[in-house]
Amino acid sequence: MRNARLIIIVTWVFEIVACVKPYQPDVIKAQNNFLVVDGIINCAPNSETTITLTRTRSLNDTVTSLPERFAQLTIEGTAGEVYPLLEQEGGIYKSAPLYLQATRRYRLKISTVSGAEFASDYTQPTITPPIDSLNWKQESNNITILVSTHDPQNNTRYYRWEYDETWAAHAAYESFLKLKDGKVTYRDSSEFTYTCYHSKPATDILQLSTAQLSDDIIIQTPLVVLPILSPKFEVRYSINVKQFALPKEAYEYWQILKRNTQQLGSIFDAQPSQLIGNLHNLSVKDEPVIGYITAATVQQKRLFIRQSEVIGGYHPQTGCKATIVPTDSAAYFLQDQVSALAYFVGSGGGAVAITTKECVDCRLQSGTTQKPDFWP
Amino acid sequence: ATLLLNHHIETDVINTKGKAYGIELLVKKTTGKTNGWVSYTYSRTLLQMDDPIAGETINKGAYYPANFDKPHAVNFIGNYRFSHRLSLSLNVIYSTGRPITLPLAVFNLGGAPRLYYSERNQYRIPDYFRTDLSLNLQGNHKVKQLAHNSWSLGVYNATARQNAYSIYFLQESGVINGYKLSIFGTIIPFVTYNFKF
Repeated sequence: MRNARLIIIVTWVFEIVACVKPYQPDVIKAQNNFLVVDGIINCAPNSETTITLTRTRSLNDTVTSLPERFAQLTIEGTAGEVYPLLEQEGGIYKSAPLYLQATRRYRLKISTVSGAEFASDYTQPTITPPIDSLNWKQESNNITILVSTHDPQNNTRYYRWEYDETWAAHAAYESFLKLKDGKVTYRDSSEFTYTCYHSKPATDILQLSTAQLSDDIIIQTPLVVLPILSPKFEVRYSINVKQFALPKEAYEYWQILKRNTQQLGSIFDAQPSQLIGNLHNLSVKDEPVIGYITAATVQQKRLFIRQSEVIGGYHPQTGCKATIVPTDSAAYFLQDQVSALAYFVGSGGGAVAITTKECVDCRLQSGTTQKPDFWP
Repeated sequence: ATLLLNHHIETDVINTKGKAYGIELLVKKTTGKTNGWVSYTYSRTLLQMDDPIAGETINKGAYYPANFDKPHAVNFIGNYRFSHRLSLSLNVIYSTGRPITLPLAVFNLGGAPRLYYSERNQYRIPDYFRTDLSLNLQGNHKVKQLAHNSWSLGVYNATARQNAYSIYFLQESGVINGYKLSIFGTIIPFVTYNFKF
């Protein structure tokens, strides 16, 4: 009896010692929808400029992105030329292939559907030196993609890279058959779902500065590190690296962005810094606009890695199993809407292998059977 | 910036100017059955970092409050002596909350979701307010004793205010939630036995 009372008092003491309550000041509850502008004015000859417009969302919003649609975007030059950008889909605006001069200055002007006007500062295009080499090396269990470049004039000190990855993958079983009018028939070549192509853009901010070095040379700097056992190396992997040079202020802007979001949150971290880009809201003074628009000639290079070049690479271990049933009863087994036909077993076509749809259709892992035009 | 075990730490810190000013007032009553004092302090500490060579300016070079800036601080201590041995004592403490930088919005740039923060130290955490009440009973006032003793019986935080000890944000299942941690966020009774020799 005495012990029980003691336990009750002790737990009451621990309960009152610390308590955690939700904290929601008014400034966080307010809907802050600032404009976010992502992209670069591409000054390489005959190239398109792509700009993505989104809005910020408040901290407890579960939607993953808020694209800003139906805005009017133009690239304006100091000599008065105006190049419009047309909306492709959901907040992505693309220009026609342009020939922008490196001697003129350009800015981006945005007019949103709600009537607000935004403009970036006029910026001088930077000439990006070409990528000297893009190669890869395998170390223990990782593949590292390396890039090298240099500027003989020692003028370009700040470099940034973006990349797009594309890789081919197979489904667990190759299906040659389909059910048509209750009978098992062969698929056309357009209906094959064995090989799919997945693509993924970069999610980190990759940049490097050679301002501390005497010569403007970058040799074999690692860009991406991938594990060998990643499904990206199952068949063939390709990465398209875009390199562009930045002015110093833009480099520092991206460094602040990188530092603000790539910290682990310990008490020894630096305080978050203010993001002051070069875009301004012309109607509402001092409203924050997120993004830094620069102009540069974008250099690209593509790299392919075949599965045979990777030592000890990925071997798919799926949980897929196939069962063998007589061909005549195939329609009965496919009624559950989960199964699919794979291939004939033995000669004579009397038996077929049946497995689940996920095991024959690689599109169900968010790929596409459309082969990209750069794929060999 | 690395602050621990850095042999050239001057390359990793930037210089900042600051200014501090304020006034302290105290009124004290020492005689009579009711005695005590009340003090009010107004103090500001502001910092300014506007050196563009350092690579970035903080709050666009405007003055911003330091982490320990506490504009108003009020302390009230009052005693009422019932008799030579019994007295009642009241403490009231108030100070403005410390400055904080809050995350305001989430956005996608460079392929990943990122947080947009407010200007540094622009907002404040909730104010600190605490009231303590206690009854003191002194022991025997004989002169020749080994030790003079007294008992105190009272409560800390009599208004049961949950003063903020830490404000932090966590990402949970895709949304960012703010939390306020309070220690002793309720009435805490105490019994103390003092003796001096």
